[in-house]
Amino acid sequence: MSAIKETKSQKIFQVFNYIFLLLFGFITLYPFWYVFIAFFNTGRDFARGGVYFWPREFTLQNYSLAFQNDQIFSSLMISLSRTLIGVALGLVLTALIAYAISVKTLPGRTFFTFFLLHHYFRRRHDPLLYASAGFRTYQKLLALCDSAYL
Amino acid sequence: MTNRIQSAAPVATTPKTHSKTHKLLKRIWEHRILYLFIFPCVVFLLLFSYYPMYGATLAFKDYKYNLGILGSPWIGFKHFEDFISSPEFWVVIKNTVIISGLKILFGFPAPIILALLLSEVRKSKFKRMIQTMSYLPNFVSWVVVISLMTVIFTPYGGIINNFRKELGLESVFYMGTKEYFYPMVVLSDIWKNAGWGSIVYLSAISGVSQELYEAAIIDGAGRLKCTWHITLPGIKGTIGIMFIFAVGGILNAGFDQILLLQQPANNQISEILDTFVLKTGLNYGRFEYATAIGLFKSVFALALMSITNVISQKFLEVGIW
Repeated sequence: MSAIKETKSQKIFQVFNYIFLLLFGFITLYPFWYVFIAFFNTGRDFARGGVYFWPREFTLQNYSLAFQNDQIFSSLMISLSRTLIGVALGLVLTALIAYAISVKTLPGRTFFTFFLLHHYFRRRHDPLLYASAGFRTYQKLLALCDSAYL
Repeated sequence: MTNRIQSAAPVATTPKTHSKTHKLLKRIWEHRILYLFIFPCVVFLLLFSYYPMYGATLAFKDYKYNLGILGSPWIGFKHFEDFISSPEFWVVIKNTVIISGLKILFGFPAPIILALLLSEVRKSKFKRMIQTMSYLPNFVSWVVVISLMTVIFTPYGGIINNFRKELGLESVFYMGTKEYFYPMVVLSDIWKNAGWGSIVYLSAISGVSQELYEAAIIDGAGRLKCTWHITLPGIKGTIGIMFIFAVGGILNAGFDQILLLQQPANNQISEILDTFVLKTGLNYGRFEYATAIGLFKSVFALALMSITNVISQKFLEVGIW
């Protein structure tokens, strides 16, 4: 396809396409970066505004304050263990049954396939989402800090 | 002679059926290791997926705490009737359908457009970079996304409002104003899901035969015409299946997202079926009523999915069953 010569309108489209996609990538990435620098900036200074790309008053106090809360570690451990156990168990169990079902001569193959179908309707309950359970505590904490600050 | 023939007939049939079950048993025995493979998964599913389903009977019972789920007396469809005749019913259904409808209207085409735009990019390094960036929001939970949004949109030092201040505009409390609820829901939904959703369309686009494009270009078709006449018909099947899933889940307006975006100010338009179930079930302790609403939702969703499947089979020639 690259052998065919591009017309002018196609070139214009390409330029706009690149700009649009770059903008899209920026929008997806920037919020993470913004919060990241907010963690390393002092709260009072950050609230004044104007901190966009780099921390202005660097501090590690926010982190030390957050890690003083034991709940963070306990919720992190719960998330981590749920994910690890869930992924390991899920992988082993589904791999085993998938191998068995893939054998076409197995009697009762259709039955077991339908038996598994239930899984498809519960796809939302994957381990990655289980990991989010821990973040609820984090969210509550954030709200607490917020109200204390205001 | 005759005696032998007469006795041979019944004898001939019995070994035949006997050998059939015998064959099956033999085949089962030959695959005994495979059943051992199946066993743990089946036990797991029975224990954690199928056994808890008896709880759904709660929807038809007059639940008494001291009698338990199985011991409570049956009451029929009373909870369903209560729900349908309750004043909340139409409000909740309306909110759910509006939010889902907006998500389908704006959120469903977003990954398709993104995939089409990405497929036009020639530089594979750039393409991969943008793809990786766009997948990122998929890996964080809604709780984190809403936290990010709270930080970014807050009138107290949030970036958007700071920007507005620098332009001389008044700051707006985006997360707590009723008018901004729908835009926030739809935009955050696109932001989180468009990138990940584009994967399936990108793989479908890469499956379209290159020869078709070459032939079309020789015939004088431009890029836009190629997209319209080759790419889109080529990924029609994928779009159809994704659409069935989207319509089938129309009563799932996004539980985590909506629950976290709910504020006293927007409660009137943000109360969806799932959050209503949570509130009646846990906050008011009406477990049987909440179960009935949940069951109603599941049955309705299954019916919707079947209808869309039939329509899709007729017009797009694809279906999920």
